[in-house]
Amino acid sequence: MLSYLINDFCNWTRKICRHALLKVLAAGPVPQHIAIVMDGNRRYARMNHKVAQEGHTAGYETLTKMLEVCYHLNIKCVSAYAFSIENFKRDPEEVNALMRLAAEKLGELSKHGSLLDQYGVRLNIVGRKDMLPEDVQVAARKVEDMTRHNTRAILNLCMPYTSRDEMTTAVQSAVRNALNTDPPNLEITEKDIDAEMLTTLAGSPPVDVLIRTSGVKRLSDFMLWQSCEDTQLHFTSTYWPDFGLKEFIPIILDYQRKAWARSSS
Amino acid sequence: MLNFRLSLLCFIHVVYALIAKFLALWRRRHQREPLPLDAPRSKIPQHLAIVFDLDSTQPHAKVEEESLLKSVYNSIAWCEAAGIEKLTLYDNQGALMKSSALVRDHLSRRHPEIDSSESELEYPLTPPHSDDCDSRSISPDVDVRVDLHTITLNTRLPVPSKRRNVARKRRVKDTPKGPPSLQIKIISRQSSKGALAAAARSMAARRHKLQTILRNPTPQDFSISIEDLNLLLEGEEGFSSPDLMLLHSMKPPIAPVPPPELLGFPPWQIRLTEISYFPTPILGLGACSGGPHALTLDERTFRAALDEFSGAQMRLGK
Repeated sequence: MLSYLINDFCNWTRKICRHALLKVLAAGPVPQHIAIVMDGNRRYARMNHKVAQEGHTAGYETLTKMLEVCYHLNIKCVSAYAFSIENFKRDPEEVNALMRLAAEKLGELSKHGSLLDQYGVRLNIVGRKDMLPEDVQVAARKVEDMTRHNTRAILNLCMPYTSRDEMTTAVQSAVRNALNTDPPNLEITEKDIDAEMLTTLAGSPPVDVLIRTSGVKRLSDFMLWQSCEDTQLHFTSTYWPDFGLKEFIPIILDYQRKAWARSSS
Repeated sequence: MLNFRLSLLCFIHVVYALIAKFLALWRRRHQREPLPLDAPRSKIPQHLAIVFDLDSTQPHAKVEEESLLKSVYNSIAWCEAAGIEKLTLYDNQGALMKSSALVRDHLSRRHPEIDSSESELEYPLTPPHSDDCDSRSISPDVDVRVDLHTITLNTRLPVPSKRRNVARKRRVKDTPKGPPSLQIKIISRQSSKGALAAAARSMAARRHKLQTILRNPTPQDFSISIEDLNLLLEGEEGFSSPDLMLLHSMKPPIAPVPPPELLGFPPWQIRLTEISYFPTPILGLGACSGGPHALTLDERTFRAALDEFSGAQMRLGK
């Protein structure tokens, strides 16, 4: 009984400290848009003698936890690389399990009282939705419709997504728009292409910070257009399910140093 | 209340800066010596890109230009020693584009055995911005050429043709090992997002012409694939994706070292590129003194990047 009380007290203290720390961090400038490559779920599962799907479930829990942190820091937008078009090459059993997980979690998110509902988050599924199984498409449509009018924050779940696919579609749309004007305005600029990027269409601000976990130092076809200018890149060796405040706070501090340096110059 | 939080935040930053400085010192003391340039590695990049972060507010621009050119000349020698086939050079101020003639002269001095008429020393390579050139594309909509604003400098011997074979044999005979084969491309911001916009403009112009002549098809029928766009950007006139990108800051080192940024490097070509960036200057203590030589890319950093690349795993989505 006493151990339970001590345990409860410790958890309560930890929660208070965490909340206070986030309030202090939020007193400085914070990134408007964070993009995350949630890498390392399967390696985390292997390391902990679990099956791949348990790794993905743990990864989803970390995402929920980090979204809460971002919300308390007043970060406007988070984009998470949930599933690459290339991931369809994986073992069909794993792909099916991932799709079941997506349908289940999107279903949960569309319920009243969910995290999105509670915090006023608009959810966008960014990518080739037509490639998703029918039930996932239905669940995605439902949650997008339900959260369309939320304005507090944005969550872009990129699935199935690749940046080259996004850039190609944006170039195609920019060309079509140019030809559709009367008379045709063929002077297409970077801005015209940027306006057709899926993230821009979903109302996202520019990406300030990109995080990739699990020690891989590549962008792997994620947000190439959005991250090739002044986005701070963070490659951390931690597997995504283990990612937490310990890794996240230095990222925010680095961003603040940049924002302060920029405003003072 | 906000002031109190801000004061606390400043305190956290001070502690963070101290920890970062301590870690930087610790890492410098404990860093392993990278393997030599020509050491056998499990893999080496065929195509290396070096991105130089130049300080736009640098008061001693001359010192910076000298350091930049020194870094470039050294990199060329290291690439040749390591067996790298392609080297792409980029900087965020377009300084390399301006100094490309100096790089070309350096190459001519370095490889006098290859005269410029035979060495395919191309300067500059700027294909015409036109929509009625030869076709190398899949779809008629992308039957265009795009100016990607790159300069190619080749130290590769040309493919032997029957007519000129005898002359080349004689020339190569004079050099015992034969000249190293390295293709150098200098690119700028215009080769970046601007190249995609240029591709879109060329395709729109082509499509408009087709529509005017044929009165059909409609703009909505216009479609392109990733392969089409890739052919325009990475094809013969463009430049391929680097296997490894080494980000090097020419700014005086500070701690905590800011996280890397891509500084406008072309987005299309970095899909699977391994990104190397060393938060601690790999040089000895001199690197932190802020002297002009601290800005120059050093061989240990270059070798460390090769070591890191040889240990990287590629899973390609699987």
